[in-house]
Amino acid sequence: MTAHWIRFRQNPIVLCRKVDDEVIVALPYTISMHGLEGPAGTIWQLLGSPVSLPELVSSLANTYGVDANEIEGDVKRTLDDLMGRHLVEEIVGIDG
Amino acid sequence: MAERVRQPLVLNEIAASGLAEHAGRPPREVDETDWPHFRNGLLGHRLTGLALSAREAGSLLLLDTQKEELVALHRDAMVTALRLEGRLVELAEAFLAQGLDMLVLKGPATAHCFYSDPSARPFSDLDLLVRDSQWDRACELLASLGFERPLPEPRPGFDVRFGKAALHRSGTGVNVDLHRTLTPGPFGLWMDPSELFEHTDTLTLGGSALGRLDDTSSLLHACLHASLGWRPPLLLPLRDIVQIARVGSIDWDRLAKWSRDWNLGAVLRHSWSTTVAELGAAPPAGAEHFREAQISVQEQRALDAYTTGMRGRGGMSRATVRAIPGLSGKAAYLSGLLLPRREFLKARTVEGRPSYLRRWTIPGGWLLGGRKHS
Repeated sequence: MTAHWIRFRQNPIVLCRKVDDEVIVALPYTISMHGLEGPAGTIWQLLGSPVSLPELVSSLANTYGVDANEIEGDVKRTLDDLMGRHLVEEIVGIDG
Repeated sequence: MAERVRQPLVLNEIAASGLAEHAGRPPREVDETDWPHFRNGLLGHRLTGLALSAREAGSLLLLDTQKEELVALHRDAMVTALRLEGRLVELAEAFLAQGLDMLVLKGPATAHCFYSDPSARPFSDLDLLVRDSQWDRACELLASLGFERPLPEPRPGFDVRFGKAALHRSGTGVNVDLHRTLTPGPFGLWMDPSELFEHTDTLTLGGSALGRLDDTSSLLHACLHASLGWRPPLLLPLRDIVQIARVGSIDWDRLAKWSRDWNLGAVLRHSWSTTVAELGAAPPAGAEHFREAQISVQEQRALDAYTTGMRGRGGMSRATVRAIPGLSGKAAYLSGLLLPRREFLKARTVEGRPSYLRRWTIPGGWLLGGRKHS
């Protein structure tokens, strides 16, 4: 039996710079930029390589010393927001 | 314990921050009264990114207010860099669609390929190299994309024959310096830029593969830019030399050959000596050759036109005349300078009516100035 997995990563076409605690991201062909600060910036850094939602939540919970259940909703919303702006992409794979 | 040292010295230390030979140096702090000069120095030398890196590493101690100001300045610089990179990806696509060869110079290429974090390396324009044979088409393409030349070509054909680059500006303020060679004046004329297109590499940006100079050619350009671009040299271009020499894969034999073939020995020696003096950076073994190279009188004289007071007194134009082979070539160059088209004259005139007479008095001023200083 095969199982599907879903991971997320930075859209490879995104241009970005880090300034102190903020990550500024932009897409070519657009003039809009987004500043990601605090946990959003941390999420962005973690998305530098493909990561699943549970892995993302777990890493953030460890980083900020909070319970994973408490932040899962916020992480999901942030991820959806980043995907809505085409800054993050979803990768679907099949094991086996 | 932090030490307070002279403000210019701290700037040099910022430019050298993170280099292994300076590890263990006591942290520096900047007195509040020195801060405005220091901040302006960081901006002028484009060192805001390296200053923030030094702060993170603990080698630069800043007050909260100083840090906030620095972060705001660097943020502006990074927004500019991102805006330029977005435009670069579009331009690269347009050049490709027109079948035009284009190589990215300096800024984005240096930041991404030779710095561990491109955020450390700001830039404020785009420098693109095109082939002489494609120069006119490249200018036309930029014009079709809404770019304008603030300074028109002095006379038809002048750019390709004698020029280094031409500035093109978009309506949104993006500056593209379109190059046909790497440096102005005699050194740019002695080079064969077409050879640079035989030694290229790739810059991946915004999901696109863009052409750039390979590491050896990038080092050559960094040396030319550091020594000839500004007087006195800016600190970030000197740091670029160190980064490229250490991070890049350098073909020192090819660099030595170009140095001989293109009369660049004096510039390479000057750039390495300046880098060692200003940044205290140990040169790689391959660079020793250039520091000890024997320089011809012709090269030294050309270099002096850029690096001494002669620069502000027409030194580069006179050196260019000397470097142009043949009387007809020299005459064509001089006529471009002395009898440019009206559009060029108008663009060069700050106030009043464009006037050939006013332009002709400039060389007279150089001569008088030269006598005063000689």
